[in-house]
Amino acid sequence: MSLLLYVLKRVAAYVIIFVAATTFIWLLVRFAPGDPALASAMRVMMAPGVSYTKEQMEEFRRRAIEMLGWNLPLHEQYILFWSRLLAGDLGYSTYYSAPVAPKIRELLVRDILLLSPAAVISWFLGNWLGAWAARYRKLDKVLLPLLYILTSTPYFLLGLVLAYTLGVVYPVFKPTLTSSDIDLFLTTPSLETFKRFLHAYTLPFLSLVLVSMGGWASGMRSLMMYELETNYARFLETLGFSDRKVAGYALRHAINPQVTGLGIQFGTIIVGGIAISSIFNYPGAGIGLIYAINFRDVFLLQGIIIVYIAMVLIACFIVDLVYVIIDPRVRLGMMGG
Amino acid sequence: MSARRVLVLLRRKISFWVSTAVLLSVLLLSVVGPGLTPYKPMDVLPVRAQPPSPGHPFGVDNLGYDVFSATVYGLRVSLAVGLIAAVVATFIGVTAGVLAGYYGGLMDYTMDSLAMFLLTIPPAFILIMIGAFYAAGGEGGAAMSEFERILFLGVAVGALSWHWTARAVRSQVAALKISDYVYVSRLSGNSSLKIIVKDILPNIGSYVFLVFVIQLANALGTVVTLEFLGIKASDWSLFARVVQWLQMGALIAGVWWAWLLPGVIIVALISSLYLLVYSLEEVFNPRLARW
Amino acid sequence: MEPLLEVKNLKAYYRTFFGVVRAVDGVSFELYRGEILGIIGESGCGKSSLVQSIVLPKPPLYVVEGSVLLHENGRTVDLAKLDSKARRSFLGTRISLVPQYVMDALPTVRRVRDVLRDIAREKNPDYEELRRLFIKRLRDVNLDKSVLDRYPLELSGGMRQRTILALATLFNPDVLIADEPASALDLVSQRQVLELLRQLRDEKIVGSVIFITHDIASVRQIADRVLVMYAGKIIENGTIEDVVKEPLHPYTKVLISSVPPLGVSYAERRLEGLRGAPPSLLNPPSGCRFAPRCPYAFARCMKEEPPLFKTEGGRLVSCWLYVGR
Repeated sequence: MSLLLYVLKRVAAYVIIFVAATTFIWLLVRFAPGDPALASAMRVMMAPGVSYTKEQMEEFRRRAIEMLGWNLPLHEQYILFWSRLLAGDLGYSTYYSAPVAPKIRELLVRDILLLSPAAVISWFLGNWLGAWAARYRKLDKVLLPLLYILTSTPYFLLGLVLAYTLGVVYPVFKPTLTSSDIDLFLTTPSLETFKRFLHAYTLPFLSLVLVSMGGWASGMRSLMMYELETNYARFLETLGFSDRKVAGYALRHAINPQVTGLGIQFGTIIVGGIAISSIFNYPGAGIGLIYAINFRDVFLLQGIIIVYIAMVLIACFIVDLVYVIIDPRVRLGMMGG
Repeated sequence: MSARRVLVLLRRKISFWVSTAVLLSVLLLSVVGPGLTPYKPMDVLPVRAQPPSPGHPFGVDNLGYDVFSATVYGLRVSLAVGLIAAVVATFIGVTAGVLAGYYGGLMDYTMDSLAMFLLTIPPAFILIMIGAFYAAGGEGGAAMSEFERILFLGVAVGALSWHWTARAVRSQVAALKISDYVYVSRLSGNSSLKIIVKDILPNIGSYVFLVFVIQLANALGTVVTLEFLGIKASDWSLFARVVQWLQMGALIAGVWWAWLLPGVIIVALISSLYLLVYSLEEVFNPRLARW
Repeated sequence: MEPLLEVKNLKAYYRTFFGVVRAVDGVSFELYRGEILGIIGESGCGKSSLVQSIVLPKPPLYVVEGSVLLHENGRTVDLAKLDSKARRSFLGTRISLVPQYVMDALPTVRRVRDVLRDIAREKNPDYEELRRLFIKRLRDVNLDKSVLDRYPLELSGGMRQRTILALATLFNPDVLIADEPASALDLVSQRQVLELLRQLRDEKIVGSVIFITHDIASVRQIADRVLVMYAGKIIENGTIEDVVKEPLHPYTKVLISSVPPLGVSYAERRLEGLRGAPPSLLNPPSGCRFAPRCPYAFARCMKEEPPLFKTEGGRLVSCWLYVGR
């Protein structure tokens, strides 16, 4: 099996997963009790605050059904959904009173800005920390409970703790942000806007990094401890290699599963980011999601979920490619070795 | 590993005793707690935003609820959902893992594909969708009783988190399958079902227990986060009101007891579960222990 | 002639949760330059622990007593007393251990030349020179230099074994220790490895060889002298001819006769075995450790442990049967 074939297989797998997940979501929305989709569509058409007669409601209902395509047979509805999706039409948000797709794009940019560095940095820090803990027993004794506590803390809780301690009690940073804190720096970068950005960005960023780091570190610790006891480690020791050199080899072996984990972790950190966003009012998908849930804004909810699922799948795919490069076993398996 | 040996090893492990102690205390709190407080979680008191005091050991939040009552009642709900989720996830996971590991082939491939699906799609997303329409208190949600909501949420969370268990169990079973005593068992004419029940299941017993505890820890984390996001089984679920508080500026006003105290309890619970697994792992697999 | 390696009353124990396992309990022997010394014994007798404690004792294995004297270039070093840093300068250069586990002794994610490069960095010589030496060594062990660019997965078991030998003998160690060098391999490769060990000694690439096995047939092939170990102690020490033709210790007798001879069918002569099992090293019995299973045991055997005793004929054996003879 060649490299190209492998890549194609992975792409096919992710596409299938995406289609399956999206279909499931579509079904959920379509058959949700209370017809929230219909209600949303109707709300878009009606002016707020005005009361309508029964006949007018009926008329709105009919028009909403037509717009959603509910009068079509089910499979045609499905096709309609996909054609709209691929064209970039994700519906209309009642909360934001704007089309969903452009809104999500805004949210996405800010989320990527927060999540990507957090995911990558926590990965590096966590693995480094875990490797150290595996090698030095004294450090391990102190670090391990700390790491466990960090992983056990839900993202939002650490967010609350940080917001309170470093945002309210010792107001070093901002506990509640406004979207301009972030956007200003992106649109007009300068020292001023950067300082303001940092003032706002740091706490949400730290919350994400600290919790994720705990997870990576405890995982790496176990992996390293295992690798340091392997036969090759012992052999290298009998060749007279220093502890540091042997640890280098162990690390190289231990890192492989951690790389695979990175893609999957991206999904978890997105969910964490959602929680964090709502605490700090970070203008990302988090708030959008909470409003969507509370205001029954179906299309916003559906849109966010679908787009973010796509993001996770893309991240996983990238990780797959990276993994092929770093693990000779996979590569050799493919070159027909 | 005989039971006696396990006990001898356990006796010396502080981590085991600490984690068990914390675990039992939290459980005790959830069982006995509601009896200790005169207030119901939905009682709105005439006072607002009071820090912990003798009358209100956890204080009163800024909406007028006694935080201690809210915590112990909410703990019950979260634990119930978490336990159901862990049971469901472990049950599905072990079954899928055993079938995939023992029979291999198509079953293995199917399980692997399903697992990959769950692995890449954060279950939280799907749960948010389900929860938003069926459980969060919308038209769909209100129709169910609280018990039904707990059950529904628990099953939903469990049904979306079995993949890790399935994968882990599968590799154990696959390794056991080619062991000598299973081979002998097969030669003596035992049917597959009999082999699975008699030879394989007892040997993955301790492993399954550890897996269950981890699933419970993960489920609790997920449940609590979902509650925060608004997907809750009942209105007094532990962190269900946090968003409301934030919007009212409770954080800035300095009302820390409302979220920190329940938070400490939840973190203690989840980390004691992880610590328990860690201490048991070193006992079940002595190679991991450090002399 | 002065011995190359002198082990004096070496005691190495494992500290476990359940107590102290006395894996090596007072072992003494000498190794001379140019010798191939075989150490035989059944599983669990302590032979692997013995070489571990000589080369690199790691927790839970601790050297409790005794010395391991390496005499080279006129100096004498007690390996047992060295700290880890000092010890490391000897490992791989003056004394090398080729492990039992051939299949995964080499790190999977690195090519052979990467390991070589690291050896150069650790031991300080010039990489280019080392590379040339290694290629020559590869040829000595019948491998092509393309091995350098390979990952361990691309090599067969026999090839891995020989690569490891090449790596271990790069610096012409005085003592090469091979722990069950042949057990992980197929029969043909087994023979090749044994031949290789002899060749390494003959061509003076290594000073002397200690090789550990439970297989008497392979010891007979190449060893000059042999030590027989049982329950953490050496019970017999002599030239291979002496021990095989005339085993003294009752245990050695059974060991030698347990090898089925060619040309003799089962109907003519049954295989002899030994009932029972070696004693637990957590709580070894007082007296001779073999006594519970020994067909010749008498009262003294149960009470007192026999020392390693030199018979009139110059043979070393640890058995009350031969005291005073």
